[in-house]
Amino acid sequence: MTIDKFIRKAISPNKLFLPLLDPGIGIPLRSLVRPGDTVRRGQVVAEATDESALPLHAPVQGEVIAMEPLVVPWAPEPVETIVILPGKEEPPQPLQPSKGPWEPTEIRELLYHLGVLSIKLKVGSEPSRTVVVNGCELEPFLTSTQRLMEERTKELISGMEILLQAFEAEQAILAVTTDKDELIADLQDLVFVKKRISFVNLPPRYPQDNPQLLLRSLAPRTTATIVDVPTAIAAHEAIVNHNPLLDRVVTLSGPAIRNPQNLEARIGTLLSELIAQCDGFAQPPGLIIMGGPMRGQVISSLEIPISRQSTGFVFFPRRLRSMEEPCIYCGKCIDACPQALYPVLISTAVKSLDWDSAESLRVRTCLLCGTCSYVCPSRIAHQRYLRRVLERRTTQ
Amino acid sequence: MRRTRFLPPHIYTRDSYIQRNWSLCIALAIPFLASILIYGVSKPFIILLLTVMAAVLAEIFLSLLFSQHLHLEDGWVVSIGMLVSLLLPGSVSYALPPLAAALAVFLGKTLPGGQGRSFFHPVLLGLLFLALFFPQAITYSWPGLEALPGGVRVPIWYEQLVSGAGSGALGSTSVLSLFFSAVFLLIRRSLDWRMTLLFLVGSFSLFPFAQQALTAQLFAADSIFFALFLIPDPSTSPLKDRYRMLYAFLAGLLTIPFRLTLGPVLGILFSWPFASILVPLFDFLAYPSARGYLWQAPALRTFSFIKGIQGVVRKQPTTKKLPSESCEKTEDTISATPIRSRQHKVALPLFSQIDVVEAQNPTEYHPPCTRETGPEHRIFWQKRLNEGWRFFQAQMGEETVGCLQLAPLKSAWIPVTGSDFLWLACLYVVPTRRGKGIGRKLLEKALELAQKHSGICAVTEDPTIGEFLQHFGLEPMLTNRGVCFYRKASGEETVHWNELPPRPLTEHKVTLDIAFSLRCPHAWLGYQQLLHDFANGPEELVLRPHLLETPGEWEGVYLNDERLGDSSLDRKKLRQLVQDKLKTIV
Repeated sequence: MTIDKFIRKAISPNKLFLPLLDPGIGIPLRSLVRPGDTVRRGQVVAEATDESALPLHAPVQGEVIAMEPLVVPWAPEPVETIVILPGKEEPPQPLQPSKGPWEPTEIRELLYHLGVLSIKLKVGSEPSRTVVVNGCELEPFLTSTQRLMEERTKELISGMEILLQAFEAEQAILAVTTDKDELIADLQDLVFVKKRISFVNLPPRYPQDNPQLLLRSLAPRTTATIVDVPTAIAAHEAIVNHNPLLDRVVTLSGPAIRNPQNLEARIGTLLSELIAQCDGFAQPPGLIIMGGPMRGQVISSLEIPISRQSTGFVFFPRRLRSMEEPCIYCGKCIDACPQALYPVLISTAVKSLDWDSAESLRVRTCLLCGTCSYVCPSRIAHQRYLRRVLERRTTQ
Repeated sequence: MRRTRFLPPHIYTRDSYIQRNWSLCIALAIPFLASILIYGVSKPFIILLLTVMAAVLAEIFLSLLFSQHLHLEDGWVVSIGMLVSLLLPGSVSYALPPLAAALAVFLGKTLPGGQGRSFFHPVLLGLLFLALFFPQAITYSWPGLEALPGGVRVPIWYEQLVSGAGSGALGSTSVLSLFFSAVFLLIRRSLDWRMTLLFLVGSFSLFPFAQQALTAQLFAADSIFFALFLIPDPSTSPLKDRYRMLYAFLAGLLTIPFRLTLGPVLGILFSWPFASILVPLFDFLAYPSARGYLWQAPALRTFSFIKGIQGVVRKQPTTKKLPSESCEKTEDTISATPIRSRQHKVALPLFSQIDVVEAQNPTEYHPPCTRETGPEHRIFWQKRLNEGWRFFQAQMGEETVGCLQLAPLKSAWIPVTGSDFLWLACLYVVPTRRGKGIGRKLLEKALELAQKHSGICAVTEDPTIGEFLQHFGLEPMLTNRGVCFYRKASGEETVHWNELPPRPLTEHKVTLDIAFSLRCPHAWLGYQQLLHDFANGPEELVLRPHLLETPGEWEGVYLNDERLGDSSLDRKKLRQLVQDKLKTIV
């Protein structure tokens, strides 16, 4: 749908909302500004209470007009949010020349302060030998990673070199699942001269983009760090151009939207503003998914800010689930499971509340990829039953 | 943002088993048309029509007889009828194919409990019956192509391709039509071609021992028909991919000895059951880590097969309606049929012991009816315990399988007067563990306690539970709301039901009263859901929630002062009732 559409810059937003909660790990942030303050573009407006969360930057120049609670999908309760009213457009700043050779610790510090990578990610007992850049995008409808790789190939490879230095790693692997010959040729040209960077084209089978499966097929016996493509490009921006992470490319797609787009939006832009730039809805959306349709989360409002983790939003006219029919024991879920689990047996056990048996069927290795639910010809939501076992484990 | 219940994934494959069954039916129509071309219109058409009708009628009749859900829309029954008719020769009498189809539905679908529950294909069971009792019917004696009146003369190679060996079952005479069926199934992605191929390879691997021509073996006796439509059926083949292939190959391999002894026609029919019997073994071998589970829970189809047969043989007691005219009378005992002893036979599993444990404080009480017992629920239990209630739960090992609540009459939430009676507030058994004597054990505990009091009483709107209570000596009594009140006195004292005054109606025609209490969080949630359903109803409907604060009042749902039930009321049914009522006004 949007695989061939170029990334478009979104129109500058009317208001920006920056929730004071890290979307990835759910760690609260501490605000450094008050209502009435003016902020520069790229100024730190909130700092993390913990080192595993990243600081927040003001995406535009403007004025903080309020601090108000906002409902966000990644928290059960409303989160205190900085509201910024954008001011006049700033002229682009002259690029700061990078200052010669960098130490790995310096790169890491800079990446942290510019909101690209958290420090905790790489402070381990043993330095990882491999950096894997996850360019697999197998969720249906989502194309932002694919477009980024096509349009910013050079930046991506340069970012990978920076990440190599930052992690003190031996090699960097770019994993893609694409059938575009041009992209493969481009990557081959760029990678050819680099000794420590390689790229792999994996077969496009759905749960391959799961980090665990990716590592299994790429670097089974080494320690590896996995980053995604936008992060690698942001690392290039941060080190070479000294720009903090302010934008995010999101895909707005699905049958319910009139003109699906890949939009580069400022972090904090409301989803409703972006939809207006896609010519609105063709049909009223009955199902809005944050993320892809296989793993994404259903949201019930359009007043949601774009976060650092957003990849896309998919809109369907209605819910696609039909009634659960009795199992015919065809074994499709077993063939489809990437972890060689037996979803049909686990769901049967859960239905009879037989928790011990469900545990004995290795349910804790489940990746929650949802393939079993997808392939079931009887429309049994196997993943829901598996999730119940896993959630039960965590609560006890 | 509130967490919604919609969990990922949100998209699904288009492949459904219903679509698969129907595309099988369409694929079967191609050899059927070919058989019309070869044998003329009348006979194949009548046989097919009769067989499919017999299968459908058998399904309707059997679902009524065993009070099962009727599933005709999934196409499974129709495909059984078509398969049976196409596997029989044209020379068969009109009575036998419908009989075989009806038997196939009964033995292969109704008894095991549906598609996928039986590891024998229903068609196999139906045909085996014919082969055992009417062997001459299933052997082919239809004349060759030349003998047909007005038959066209065709070249030899074409004749073999179109009409096979000159005689055979209706569906398998023309190999060319089967080829088109295969193409259709492959386009619809409803065929596992590897299984087809492996079955054929298996059936030809020992070919040097057979003394017949290759083409004759290939085209005669349904080899390709079986390989296309019956062997790759996902619901009767093993669960794991690898073992599915092995099964197809073995099914092919086993045909050789049977064909050599029984002839080409009966060969496959008698070899396939042997391959099918291995299916549970394959399932078992595929899951070494599931072995413990395999013995405990009836997960795999072997166990569900047995369980399904048990369920049909031990028929569920049908619910009896109370006579409507006797609802007007009060203090009138109704006659109930004596309960059959085997309905409450204790069938405990050998190694599981049920212990009835009393919960002394709210943290110990985890009733299985409410999924979560959070701190807010414990407040409910603590209040009840302060009022003198007693909580029991049935333990089966670690698992809580049932619960029992007993209340003294002064804090009972029903309108009764009596001295020292106990009220049976709640008796619940986990649905999957019913029929194992857990409810009996809990009720015996309650009766044992009632010996120390004047007696025990209970209210229920479910006639099945009523029968259960009567079996233990509780006497029924009809109330003015048409609901049975059960009591059993230990001594001479007795308990009386106070009739409830009618609730005043509003000038609106439809009034829905929902009276609920803070007795139990589970029931409370049920009422909240009902209230939520009608919160934004039409103007003609007046919704009156009543929060009962003191014991002695009775919760329930009343539509125009007519009692419908308590919190266990089906929401859909209630919505329908209210809508019907609203229509009568307009």
